Amino acid sequence: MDACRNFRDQWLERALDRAERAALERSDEHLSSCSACAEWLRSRDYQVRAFSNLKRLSVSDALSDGVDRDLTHGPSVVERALRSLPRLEAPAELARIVAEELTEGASASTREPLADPERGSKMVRALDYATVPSVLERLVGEELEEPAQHVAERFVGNLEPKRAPAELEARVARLFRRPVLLRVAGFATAAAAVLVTWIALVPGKNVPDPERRTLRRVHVEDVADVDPVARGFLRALGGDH
Amino acid sequence: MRAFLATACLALGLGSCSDSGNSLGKSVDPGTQEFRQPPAGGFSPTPGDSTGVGAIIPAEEVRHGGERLVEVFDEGLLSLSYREQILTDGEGAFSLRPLEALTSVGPEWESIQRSQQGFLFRYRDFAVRDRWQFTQNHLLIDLGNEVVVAGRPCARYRVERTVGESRTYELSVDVETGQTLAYEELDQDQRLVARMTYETYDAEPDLTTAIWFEPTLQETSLLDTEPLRSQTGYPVPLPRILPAGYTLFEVATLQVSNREWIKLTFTDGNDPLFFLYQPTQETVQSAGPLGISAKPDPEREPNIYLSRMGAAGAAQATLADGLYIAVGKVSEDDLVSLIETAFP
Repeated sequence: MDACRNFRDQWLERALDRAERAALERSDEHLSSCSACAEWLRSRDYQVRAFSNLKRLSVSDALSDGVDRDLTHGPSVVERALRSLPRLEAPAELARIVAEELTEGASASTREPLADPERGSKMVRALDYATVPSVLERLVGEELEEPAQHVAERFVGNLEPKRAPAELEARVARLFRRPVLLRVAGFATAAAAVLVTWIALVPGKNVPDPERRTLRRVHVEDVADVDPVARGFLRALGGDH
Repeated sequence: MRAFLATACLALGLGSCSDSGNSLGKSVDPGTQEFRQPPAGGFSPTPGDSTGVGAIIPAEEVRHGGERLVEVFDEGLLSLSYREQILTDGEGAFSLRPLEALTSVGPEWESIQRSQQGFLFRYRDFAVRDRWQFTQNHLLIDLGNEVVVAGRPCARYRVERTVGESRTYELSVDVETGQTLAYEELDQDQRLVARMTYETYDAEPDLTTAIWFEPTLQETSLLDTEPLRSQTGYPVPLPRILPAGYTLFEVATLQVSNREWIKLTFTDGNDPLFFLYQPTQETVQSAGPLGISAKPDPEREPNIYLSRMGAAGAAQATLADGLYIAVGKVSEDDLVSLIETAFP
């Protein structure tokens, strides 16, 4: 592997940590002598600055609707995405080491600590760990700062709400009752809206939904049926049966 | 600009995602994370070293010639076997000629092999294509023993894929050059998928009479310092969900018989995964916003065609804005998802 690639790999490993990144840039001798890497670094710095300046956008209504549809109709993109997430399991090497320790321990009357402390610390470092979500950390922090206030809020929330007397409810209802003409106009407007919607979406036109996001799967037996470019890549990866 | 940023975000974001979900990245001792480089006089594998990824060098980077036996298996049974001759100068020029088929093949097999030697040379065999991504998704175990392949001493390694679908490789790596001289690929049930073995090896081949492969595809890498849209002239749909462990490796254009494709190559460090997009003339000319042009054609049946060959699969769909193709050693769901999540 050449020095450029080595430096870039190291930089990318530290891309999310500004201090480590800067330390590498100061200490790396290759960078000071390689204009290509310096140019590459400038473009990465630009990207990092651009990403950090990006505004957070809220989810659009269309996306929310799409997710709702996915969640209610069969296997969804979201489900597939969730299934594709990597499982948090112990590394195979750790599993092997633990299995060896257990096998060795079974023959001994008492469990001995790991013979090699460094090996033990490596095993601990190898464990995946989950961090507390920031929102949970914030909520717990707030509660610890004002415990009395939060206990009071929790108790108030659990109290059974008292119902208003019937006479009071009747007076409030009379106060907000709309005149008959206004109520009729409201019904007429709603009916007109339903009629217009029905005319616009009259059944029987059989127009494919342009928003449709899922494609119908068709399996082809003969590889000759796919595009020649796809065939070339498929033959290379699949071993050209 | 947004398109390119999305591409870069995809690469960086997914890279960082895999960091949090992958066990190998955290199991590497920070003190040994500097990968071993092969010294000028060759390298000696150290038993127990699980970070010697840098010591495995792609065949295309080592000047050599030789004959190789290639075997492909279907559900553990041998389905195709042939011998081929490889010659490369280690600097990009190569030829890969089929010598003889050892199993029954069609009459056009040899001509197909010759025409597709570019694909086969670059993508068929085991290789560490992205060192960082490889360590994120694989465990490299030095088996601590040596074998002789084509007369050359080789160290034995096992590679286990630790993210997504399980896959294992058994490697014999030349202790002098770091080149993989033999490998076996096994599926999640530990059944053989493919095997390649050098039968002869020439470290000083005569290159004066070599007839190098001339690519029929004109491939041009796109710059990662310029917006993708400004380089293509039209919007390029980008997959939003990738299979576990994959990240963007390269973006390029392909010229095939006057047809231009955008080729996105993703990788898990070893296997490549391709997303190809060929815009229609209307898309190229209108170059409208992606949200308008890239939707399923309401006049056409929105089918996606799926084909499988060994461990790899391909998916192909024609939408209003162009032709979408995904090819890789991933599940059918992953291939379909790659395409479906590309259009808005």
